[in-house]
Amino acid sequence: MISVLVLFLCFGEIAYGTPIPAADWQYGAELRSADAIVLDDRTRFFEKTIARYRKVRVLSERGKAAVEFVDLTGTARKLEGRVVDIHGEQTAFGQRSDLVEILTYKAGGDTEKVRLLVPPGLTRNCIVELAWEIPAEGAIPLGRDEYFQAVAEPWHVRSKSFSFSALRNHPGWSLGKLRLVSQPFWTSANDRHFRLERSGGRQTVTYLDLPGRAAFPFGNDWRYDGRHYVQVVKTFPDFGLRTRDFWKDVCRNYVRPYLFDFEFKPSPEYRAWVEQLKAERAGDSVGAMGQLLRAFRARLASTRMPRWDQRLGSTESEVDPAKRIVAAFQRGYGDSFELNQLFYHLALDVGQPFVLVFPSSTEQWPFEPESRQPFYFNYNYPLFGVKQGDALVLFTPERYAYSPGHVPARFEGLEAMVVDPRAGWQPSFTVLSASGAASNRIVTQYQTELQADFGYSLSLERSATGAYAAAYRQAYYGLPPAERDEALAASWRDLGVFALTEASVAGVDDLDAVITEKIGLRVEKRPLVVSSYAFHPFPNSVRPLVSPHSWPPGRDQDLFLDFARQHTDINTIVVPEGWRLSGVNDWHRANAVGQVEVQAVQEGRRVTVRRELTLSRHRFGRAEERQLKAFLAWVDEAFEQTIAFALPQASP
Amino acid sequence: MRALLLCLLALLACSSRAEELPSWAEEALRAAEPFQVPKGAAVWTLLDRTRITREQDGSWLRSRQVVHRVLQQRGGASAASFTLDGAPDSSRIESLRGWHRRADGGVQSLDHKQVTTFGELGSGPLHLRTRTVAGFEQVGRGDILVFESLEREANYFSVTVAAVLGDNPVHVRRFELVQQAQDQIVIQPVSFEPWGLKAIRKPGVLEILDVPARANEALSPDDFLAFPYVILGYRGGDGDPMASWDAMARWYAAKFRACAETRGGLSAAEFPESLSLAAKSLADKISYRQVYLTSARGWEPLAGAEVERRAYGDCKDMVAYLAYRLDKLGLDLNPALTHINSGYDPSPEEPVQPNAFNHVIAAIPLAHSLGFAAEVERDGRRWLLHDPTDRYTPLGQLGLQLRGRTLMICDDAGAHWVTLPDSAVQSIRLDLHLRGRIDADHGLEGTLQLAEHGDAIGLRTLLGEGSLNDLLARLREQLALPGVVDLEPKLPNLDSQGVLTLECAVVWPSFLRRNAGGLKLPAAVTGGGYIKLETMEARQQPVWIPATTPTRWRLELDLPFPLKAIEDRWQWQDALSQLSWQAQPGRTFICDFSHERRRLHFGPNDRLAGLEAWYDYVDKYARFLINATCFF
Repeated sequence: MISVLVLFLCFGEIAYGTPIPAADWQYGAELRSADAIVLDDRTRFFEKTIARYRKVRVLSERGKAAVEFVDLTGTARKLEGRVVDIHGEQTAFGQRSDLVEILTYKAGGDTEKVRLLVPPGLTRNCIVELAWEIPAEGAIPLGRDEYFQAVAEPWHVRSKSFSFSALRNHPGWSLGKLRLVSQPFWTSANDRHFRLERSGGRQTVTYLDLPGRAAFPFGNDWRYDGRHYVQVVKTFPDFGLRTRDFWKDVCRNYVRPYLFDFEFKPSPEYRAWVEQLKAERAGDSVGAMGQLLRAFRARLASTRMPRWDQRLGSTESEVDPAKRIVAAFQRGYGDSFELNQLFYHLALDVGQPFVLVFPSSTEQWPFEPESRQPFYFNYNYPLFGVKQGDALVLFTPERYAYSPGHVPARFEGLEAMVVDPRAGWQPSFTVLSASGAASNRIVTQYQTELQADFGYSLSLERSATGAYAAAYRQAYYGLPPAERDEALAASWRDLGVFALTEASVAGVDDLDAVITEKIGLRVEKRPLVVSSYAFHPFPNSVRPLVSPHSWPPGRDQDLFLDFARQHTDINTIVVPEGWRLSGVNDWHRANAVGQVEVQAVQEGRRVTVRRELTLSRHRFGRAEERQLKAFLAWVDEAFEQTIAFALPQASP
Repeated sequence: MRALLLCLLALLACSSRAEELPSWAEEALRAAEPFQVPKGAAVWTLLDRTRITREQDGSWLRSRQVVHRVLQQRGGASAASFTLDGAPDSSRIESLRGWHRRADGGVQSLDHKQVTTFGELGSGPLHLRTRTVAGFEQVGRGDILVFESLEREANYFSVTVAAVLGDNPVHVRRFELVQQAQDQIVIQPVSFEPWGLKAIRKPGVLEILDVPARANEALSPDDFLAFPYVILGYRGGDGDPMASWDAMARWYAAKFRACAETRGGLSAAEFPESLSLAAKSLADKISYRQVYLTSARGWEPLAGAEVERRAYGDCKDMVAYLAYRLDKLGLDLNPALTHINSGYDPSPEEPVQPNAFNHVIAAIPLAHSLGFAAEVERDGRRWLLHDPTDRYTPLGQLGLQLRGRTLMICDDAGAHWVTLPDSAVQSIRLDLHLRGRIDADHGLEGTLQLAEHGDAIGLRTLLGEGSLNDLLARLREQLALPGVVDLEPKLPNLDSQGVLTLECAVVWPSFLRRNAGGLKLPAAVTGGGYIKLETMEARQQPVWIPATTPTRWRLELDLPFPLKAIEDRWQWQDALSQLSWQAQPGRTFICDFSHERRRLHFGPNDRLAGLEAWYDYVDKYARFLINATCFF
């Protein structure tokens, strides 16, 4: 207890002139390859300030990054610190020139700056102490909605602690009649790496001996073992104490009245449209939802993805959400918020069964109901779900690139909160399913005629579905048809010297159609002086995955790929008389991650080459890393593979 | 703060709305009407006019007027925005206005909400430069975008440089300098002739007609000084650094001394020991960091004592620290200016302008030769050249970044131009020895031994920086080694000659790959896969072929089946490249392979020769790959 008290008394002050304790210099002898060690990092939250102290051992030139260019935010104040090198020489800092203030952005009346620390006197073997504070309200930095700090760093952490006092209500934060307070949240672990202490009205969490974070390919910054973070967030103090009651109150008393069920006064045109849609409803719930979404998109354009001939104006004339959606309907276009709200009311008015799905994403920390963070979800942008047996078919009204039944893969396979607006807004929690490989397909059919002088003509037709269709639609939708064709042609022109005879894109404007690309070209090729002729059967094919450069050992997390997929390439090649396919071209490899198959068959002058690549899932366990690497090696091999022809006589 | 406030007020002032374009923009539209629209362009800039006035206090008022016509929908986004670069201590936006006339005739003027200023925050240099972007939304085909700006600038030099080619074709590009009574104005076009640019010159005006867009081509020059540009400004009085290269060298010698707080006029070095000690002190203590809080810091070093306190600095700060150390010993040092990290090389024959140099090294006067490789003689004097930024290359030698470079050594007498002989620069090479066993799935398990000579691919530097992981990442990047290859390194060794050796256990899935009905060695070993170029007739730009690191491979592979290529030997040597391949086929496949490509530049008048050289090289390489590195 005494030592803790002394620690707090010294907190925020650098003891200039006193030597660094020997234990600090001796710590981490076994971490010989470490570039830096965070010996001590303490954050103390008060009502009006957040104070931070760091002590870092630098062990190499690279390790200086642990204390250099530290972003202290633009509001940082009372910076002080010192560098003590291994020989005891001390350099104090805190001068204006040591702290560089840089404008992040300035727009309208908003200005944001950062302050970067560039400590003087760093050596490749030193200890740096620094302390600073930032102004806060309710322990949340001024101007922010929450405080967030990831505990692990690229460097080994000996000790990192966070200390909170009891926090008060903040009247200024109220949402209508709902009171808000700030609330700390931390991830915990019941092992030697974690400690929770309460003393003198404060509670302190301490994380100990955390290994340095490596950047893993296909990793996720939010989801891995030992991913600890500390937050101070705003929450509703008057909502239910039990987790289930809390979320029920969030949905019924906040989300419903404040974000969805506001008074909507539709126009007669809207009423007539609803009646028309009701009359046209057909099929099961899923089919009817798809039909409704198509009708909705046909009537309303999106400012997020306008078609080339839709010249849309501003949507900011109204603040009141009810008036905004009325205005959006009248003008025939809206932004994402307006489109979602309008679709929500439309689905209710038409009698379409659906649930609202508030998803978490791979770009966010995992959702944990027990954390009781009411603002975890972005309620303005829900997915819409329709039950089909036990499954939930998902729709995203405002993302026009996604056909009915497809949603961005960053939501797939993750936690979500589901609410049925027709059943009392009672929330439930689920894990969304992920689309399979067959949902995201690219099929390319090539036709080639090879000539005896090694020139050739080639045509191809490529079609895409699912996530690929969304990507193509995003790229092409805003361009007039001629420019789409030109964009496709340009993507081929960079490949080499040939004459394009056709470049056309189809299926873009129909938001539900399969997108196809067609290419025709002719190559006047200079012959090589070899006894056989090698030919790449699938020029400019779409690579399913690019192999990362580096795979650090000791992976501690799952592998997140964006989506499962299937690529099929088929080339039907007509060769000159007497040409014979050389050697062995067929192979097939498969594992739990995926499979690769290449086949080449000759019948007379016709050679058919087929390449099939399947990535079976979009998420893999860490133990499957080796299998993914094997799969990537096969993909590389299949993409480089040429076929060769033995010629009837030596080439010219 | 005052500057920011004024800037904000200026931007707020532009929030008035207008229903029509300004008359000068209408005039530009009318003037372009009879002319044919450039083929293939997405945006046609009808007018790009820069007008500069020098104020009594020496500051410049720079006004810019731009008119774009959007020819294709895809050009809408780029035409919609207008960018101004600045810095709080040297520029201020006095006004910024914009108009968007839609194809249907409606005109919208720029609102202050459509203007954003960003700081440039990255992992590289730390500076206070800003970028202000004004932009309209929903811009499409047939629209007209008009922007007008007025900036006040405090320029470090009396002249500045403007690039001519941009992303869009320009109908009229006009530079105007307002001449006050005593001013001597400079508007000097450079490299216009080889590019066939049509320029009209009048007093104080340079008008360039029908400027083409800069094409996106492979193997193009990596520095804007290889393209046409214009030198603009006002000749200063006595001592203007831009009067001549000699004037610039004299100015910089004095400026450097004053900033570094050294005396100058000291002795030439007679013994190597004191130089070695000073260089070692620098390498041990000072790290490279570029922190510029004023625009002048682009040229002015910190005082040597301050560099010592900070323990970091940029190239000139490091040279200043060395000068400070030598000054204490009574020894002299001259700054030497050069250009690195791009293919551009300065020359005394080129017109004087401030962008010729981007790097400073130390030229230490010697009383006589001390036997170092990096000694040069010029104008009857001898210097030892040392680049403190390259802290892992020992005193007496220079690193790869300076190979073949031209330097301007600055002293009170003027400029001493030196082109570095190859002997002054460490020779570089990468030796790789791969041994192992190939399994039935074509995977390899074995060892890779490497020896890097002269920091050839930067491994020595990365080792010095303390990271084996970064070293391995660089090795992978340089060899284009697939990420799926596992490398388990032993500790690297650096010998007294600066040769770094490293041994790794290797697991390489799909090492041999199916190809052309047989198998082939991986491209990480054999190289290849070279860029194919556009049709020769359409080539716009000079051809700059970059060098590769001289590399030698020895392969010793035990196989479950014998390997036999069409040819066991292959070699060539010409002005651009050399290659040698010698294989011993069989179940134990042994091969010695070396390759090197030198840097070659083909200027605007030699484009076809450059393309021919590249095609010839690619063709030769393709023949080598299919004949010698594929097994059937």
